[in-house]
Amino acid sequence: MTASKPIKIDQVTKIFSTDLLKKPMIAVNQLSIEIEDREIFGFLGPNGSGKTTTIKMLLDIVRPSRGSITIFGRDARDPTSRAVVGVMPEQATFYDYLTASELLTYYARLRGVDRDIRATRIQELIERVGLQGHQQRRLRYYSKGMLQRVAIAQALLAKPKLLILDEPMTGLDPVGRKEMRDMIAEARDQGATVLMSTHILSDVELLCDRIGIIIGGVLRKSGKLETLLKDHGETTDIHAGQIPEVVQRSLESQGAVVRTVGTATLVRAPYSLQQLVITALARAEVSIEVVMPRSKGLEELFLAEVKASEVFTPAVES
Amino acid sequence: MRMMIIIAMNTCREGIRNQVLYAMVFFALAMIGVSSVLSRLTMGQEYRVLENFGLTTLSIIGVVITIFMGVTLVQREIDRRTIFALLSTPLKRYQFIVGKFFGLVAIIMLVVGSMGLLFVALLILVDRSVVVYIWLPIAMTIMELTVIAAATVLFSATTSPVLAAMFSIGFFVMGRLTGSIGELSQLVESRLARMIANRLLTYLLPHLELFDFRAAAIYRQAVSTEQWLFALCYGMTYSLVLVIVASMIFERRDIT
Repeated sequence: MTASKPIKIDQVTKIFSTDLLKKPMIAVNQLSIEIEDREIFGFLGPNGSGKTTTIKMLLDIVRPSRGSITIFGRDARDPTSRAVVGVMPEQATFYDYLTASELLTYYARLRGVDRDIRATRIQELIERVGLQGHQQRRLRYYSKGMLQRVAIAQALLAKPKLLILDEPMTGLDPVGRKEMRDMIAEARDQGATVLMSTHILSDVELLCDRIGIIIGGVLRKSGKLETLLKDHGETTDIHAGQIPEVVQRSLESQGAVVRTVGTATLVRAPYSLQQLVITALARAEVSIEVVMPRSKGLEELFLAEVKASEVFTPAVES
Repeated sequence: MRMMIIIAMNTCREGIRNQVLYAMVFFALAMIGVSSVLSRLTMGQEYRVLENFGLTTLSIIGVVITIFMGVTLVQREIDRRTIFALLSTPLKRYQFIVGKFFGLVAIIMLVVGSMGLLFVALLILVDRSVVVYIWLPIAMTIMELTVIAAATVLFSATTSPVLAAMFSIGFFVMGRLTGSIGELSQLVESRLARMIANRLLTYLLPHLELFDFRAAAIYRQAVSTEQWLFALCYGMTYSLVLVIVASMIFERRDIT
């Protein structure tokens, strides 16, 4: 059990001063995230929201203007902190003059993978990502999906304790996405912690334990996926008989939506009002046919957050 | 050191697999071949023409290859985003820069060295005695190219490839003209201006003329050990300073 958190981002701000005459751009603003051991954390946000900048700061490719970042308790500026990290960059492009085998050997050497196990590990990964038979072809002849497979293979080379994946599903077909999801879940099952930034919300719902939504460089929401959906999206649909107009007005004034279809009525109310609606209908002697809790999906939550971000400052996604 | 060697080996491999490099080498060898034919047209000067032409071609093609390969060395890694996967390993930034420099020097040694060997083989067919003299200008051309490589790595680590190419060409031209600029500066009346020019020339601008031993070889003049040893030490120190500066700047840089 590791005592320190795999990732601890504490009050981090990144300001890019691109031009002397232009106003500095705040890419990330007072961001604080802690990622727990062995969880898959989904990092969501629209384009230019600061996701990639945050990932770059984790890898010390870009330095925070303020705040601190630690990886398993080590300062992210210390290169040794990356010894246990596997990274899959966004839109992975590699040295097109190398073959997949040569590329993986190159990264394995940089990651200090022991010479005795290097060839076996590379072969194992090539088979795992489904590139057997292609490993001696130069990467310039690879499709985008194949390059994504090479990218995840290089990230997994040294059996990392922390996997950072920037848009891992880009360019993959549905089969490839399923395989990628399986590999991510497998890495977590083998003890790795995963930070994944993606636009594909259905994958987040299927994979992630917790999520963070970043908009305009500000973390708008963070927590367990089910909790966030329940807190911000759960409603109850109550199918009932005809409702007296007085009761209907009373329910609507409390936040419920009432629709009448013929002699039937649908009352859609926030989950917190469920009991109140049922009591009111019972008092008015209205028959209740179905009470159905209904969760809003992640997409609705995400879009609501984007709309709700009143002070949306376009951030620099560099 | 291990990390730097890994980076250097990959840089070297990239160079060797670059087809443009082979085109340049072919062009250089063709030029030397043509010069061997042209030299026969001169009366009693054929060795000198061949040697001069050959050494000059080696130097010019060497400079073109160094600048062509060097200016995109760092920026290409950033543009292609390959640097993200590299820096996500425990690689330190200075190791990346030094490794890139070593890789470029290895390409220069391989290309100019092998062209030099072919040139020497050609000369042996014409005049065997020349071998004693010819190794020094070839070795010093490689040293000069090493200094230019260090400068291109510095420019590549700090600016765009286009600007890096312009600065590198400027560096080469200035370096070759430092002697002439020095002579011109003595004609200035102001003592202060002369002093500033002297200091600038002594410490800042490269003295690439120090590496030019072509005339001594062609006219069979003896070169003292101190003279070539000084050039060697100067070249190594100058390159070291440039690579340290490149590493320091790259260390502080946000890679976007």
